Amino acid sequence: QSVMRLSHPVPTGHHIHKLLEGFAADVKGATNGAVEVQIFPAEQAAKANENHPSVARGGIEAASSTNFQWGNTIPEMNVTVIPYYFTDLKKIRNWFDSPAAKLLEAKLEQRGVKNIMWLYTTRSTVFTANKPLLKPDDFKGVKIRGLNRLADTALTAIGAAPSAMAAPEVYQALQSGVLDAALTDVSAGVSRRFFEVQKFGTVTPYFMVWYHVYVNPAWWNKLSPEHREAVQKAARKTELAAFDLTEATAAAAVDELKKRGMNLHVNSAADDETWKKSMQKPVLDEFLKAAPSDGQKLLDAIDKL
Amino acid sequence: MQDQPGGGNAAAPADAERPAARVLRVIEGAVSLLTRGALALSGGLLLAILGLIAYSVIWRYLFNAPKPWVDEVAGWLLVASVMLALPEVQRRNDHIGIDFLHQRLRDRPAARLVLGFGVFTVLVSSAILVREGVTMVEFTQMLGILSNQIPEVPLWAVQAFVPLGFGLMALVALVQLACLSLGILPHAMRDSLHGEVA
Amino acid sequence: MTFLIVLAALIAVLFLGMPMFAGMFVFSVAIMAVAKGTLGAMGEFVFGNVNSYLLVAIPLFMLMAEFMVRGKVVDDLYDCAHTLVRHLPGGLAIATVGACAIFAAISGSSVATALTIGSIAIPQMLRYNYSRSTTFGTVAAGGTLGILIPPSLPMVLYAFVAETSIGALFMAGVLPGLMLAAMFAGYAVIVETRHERTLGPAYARPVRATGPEILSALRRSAWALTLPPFVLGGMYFGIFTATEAAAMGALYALFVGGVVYRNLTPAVLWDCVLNACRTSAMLLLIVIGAGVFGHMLTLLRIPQAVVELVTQYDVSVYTFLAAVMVILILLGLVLESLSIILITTPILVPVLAHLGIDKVWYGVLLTITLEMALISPPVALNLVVIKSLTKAPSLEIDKAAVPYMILMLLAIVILIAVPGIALWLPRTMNLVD
Ligand code: NA
Ligand code: NA
Repeated sequence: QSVMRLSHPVPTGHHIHKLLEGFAADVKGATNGAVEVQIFPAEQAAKANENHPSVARGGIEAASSTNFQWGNTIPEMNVTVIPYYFTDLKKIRNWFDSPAAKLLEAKLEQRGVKNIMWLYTTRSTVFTANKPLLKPDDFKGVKIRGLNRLADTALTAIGAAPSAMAAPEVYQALQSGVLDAALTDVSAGVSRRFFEVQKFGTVTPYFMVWYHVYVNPAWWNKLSPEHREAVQKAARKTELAAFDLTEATAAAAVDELKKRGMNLHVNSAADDETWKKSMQKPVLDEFLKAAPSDGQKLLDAIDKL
Repeated sequence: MQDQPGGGNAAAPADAERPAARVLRVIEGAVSLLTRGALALSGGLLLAILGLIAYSVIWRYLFNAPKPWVDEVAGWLLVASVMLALPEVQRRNDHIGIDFLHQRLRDRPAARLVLGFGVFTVLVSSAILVREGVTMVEFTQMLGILSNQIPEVPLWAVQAFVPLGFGLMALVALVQLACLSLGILPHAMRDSLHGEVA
Repeated sequence: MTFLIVLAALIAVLFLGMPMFAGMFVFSVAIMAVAKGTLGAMGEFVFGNVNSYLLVAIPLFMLMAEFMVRGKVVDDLYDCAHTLVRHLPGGLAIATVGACAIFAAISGSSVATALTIGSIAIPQMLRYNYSRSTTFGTVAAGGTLGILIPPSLPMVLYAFVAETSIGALFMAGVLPGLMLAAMFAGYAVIVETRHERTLGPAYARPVRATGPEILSALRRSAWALTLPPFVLGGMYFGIFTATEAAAMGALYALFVGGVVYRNLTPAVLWDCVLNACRTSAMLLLIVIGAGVFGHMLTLLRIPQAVVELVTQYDVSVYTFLAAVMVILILLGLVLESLSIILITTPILVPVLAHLGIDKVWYGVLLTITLEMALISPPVALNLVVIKSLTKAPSLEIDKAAVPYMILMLLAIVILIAVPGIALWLPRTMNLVD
């Protein structure tokens, strides 16, 4: 019997955890219990940024991280945080087994882990604040919790002051005014209860996030071919299941934010075009600077999806 | 914790006669200089953390420009500061433990055995952490793991404080064990056997 | 069952008297090596445990405490409280618990609270002939209020893992915190009234302070009294985050102790810094040891197995809560707060939802069990603080803590019977449904 201990950072209420539970059940069924997926949620087994070394060194067999968690280690993984670049649902659906996906999978392989699954997590971003943030000018002088160094260049470009802050501290910082604003996935806006401390929100397909699952290559190679195939099949089923669940979760989150009294504005296509104009270029430039050789290749591959 | 004159320390008069003991005392002194130097660095780093956070607060309010890298750097400085303070914690035996046995044994020779056993577990722990720390540094270099806010600062250099701190701690424990095995009570450990007063 | 055996084995090992950090570490590593044949990424685990912006608050609060103590700032604060209540039986115990509650509202850490107040209160209480058990007990237990009265680091972590409101949780901690403070003070008064009689007719309790005396005490402590509003206000009115509040508090204490009181010469200041470094390193070593132990338990799914056992049977809310409290208290014997939260919360949250138990309310119950963990031997950080302040024998300190653990247990029972004590305030503020 093989055990796949899978560490991930999200709480058990998160839809990604539910998808992974389904994956575990599928693997168990398909292998008659010979491969057991044990899920360790909420950073129980490893902190988000220890997942990579833990899996690469075989301390645990698998982990799930956001793609942008790779930060400067694999700058190409940041491609989904380029504003409005990769947020079209049709393109996202065409991702699996594409040259673009393969390019990133090869990068991950070089860093000592084997990718087995890309779980579509969100493309519904909400910018929250205690004043309406309707156009790029509204961001002038706003202290906002950013995403990472690359993505924050968009915020700096429109005059906001992005700040990095440990996730557990954000709520209090918003409540107390240490921060004026936050940008987050809509369902995180619900689960972290930002509606209690922020009056306004603007919903827009600003960036996209994968939670991807990777395993220790040595462990993977020791699995029998049948078991490997069973895991891959379950992985594909989970990847496809992610679409409906994620879209439904996002829609429900928007409703919930409204119900909780947040004054929500959903950007129109024209709004998005305005935001894109002032926010995409700076991040795109930084992205290509950080990933000089393969960045353009990846962008081209995504254009063709 | 103040060093006290070791009342009832049977080994003390014998020290002068044995050259090995004298050599160990010299080594102990040298190690103590090293650990106190490390502690001074640790103190400097703590002041740096204080300054850094004050700096970020000032920039946020006076210039409305938060410094996103401050949190990450403060975490690094904390690691370095804590690791550099470890050897001195060990030298003074400032550890926390259940002293039930010490209480019972008091001045009996078995008390030294208990003390030595404790130092031995510290030696084992820190030796494991040195090995694990070195492996971590090697992996970070090999896998090319970079930090998120300031990729210009090599992450492995920050991580290297882990094997460094525990390495110095292991060194201190080793000297203490050598002392104890020759029947010498390490200077700063006299409290551990005699200092039970409020 | 495995869980109880592992727990008992660890406690037995620790009784051999090695440093707690090393004992927990070697014990856990040995089990992991035998059970799994690998330590995993131990280096990264330790590095990640210490490399945390939230933990930066620990040495900074230590530094603030050092500045306040060596700058003799808290002396006046404490003297002031003493002047107000000294004529009452157990007056100093009331002053100590009160000072703990005030300081708890500044600090998110129980250790910092016990350390700061303890370093002033213990010598004073002993000087005025208070029994050693009351002295150690009030400081250790009063210090635990640091995580129940907001701000609170463990509450922040729990709210994050359980996906509930930090604001609501903070507010829910206020009344139970005050209630517990009153219980501690009340108990100390009863015990000390009896203890006073054993001192014989020669013992005279200080007389009630006169008006001018009180005025003068207030005037002397004016600067000290500005400290809590500075730190607290800074945090509540949104000027600082918790970590920043610790840094600014340290700087402000440095200003008051150095410039106003002129007690912090450069040499004393440097001594404060080095002391803060050593104390923090000593504490973080135990955080590392407990972290590795919790990591080992988690990877072997030992706590999960226990909780799954509890959840398997279709139990009532009260049976479930009773079982969970017992498990939390047992874990609290050997683990520190953050590990307990990380190990149990993700498993319990779905069950809470299933049974319709309010997450905020449960969070308060959890926090009180974490307070118990801080004073329940063998691993008890607040008792460690008392030990490092007094060098008293562990057994004596352990015994002093027992009545206060029972009071906390009583508080848990009261809160289970009357959930409104925790939930009234957040409900009034519309923070919970
Ligand atoms: Na507090
Ligand atoms: Na405990």
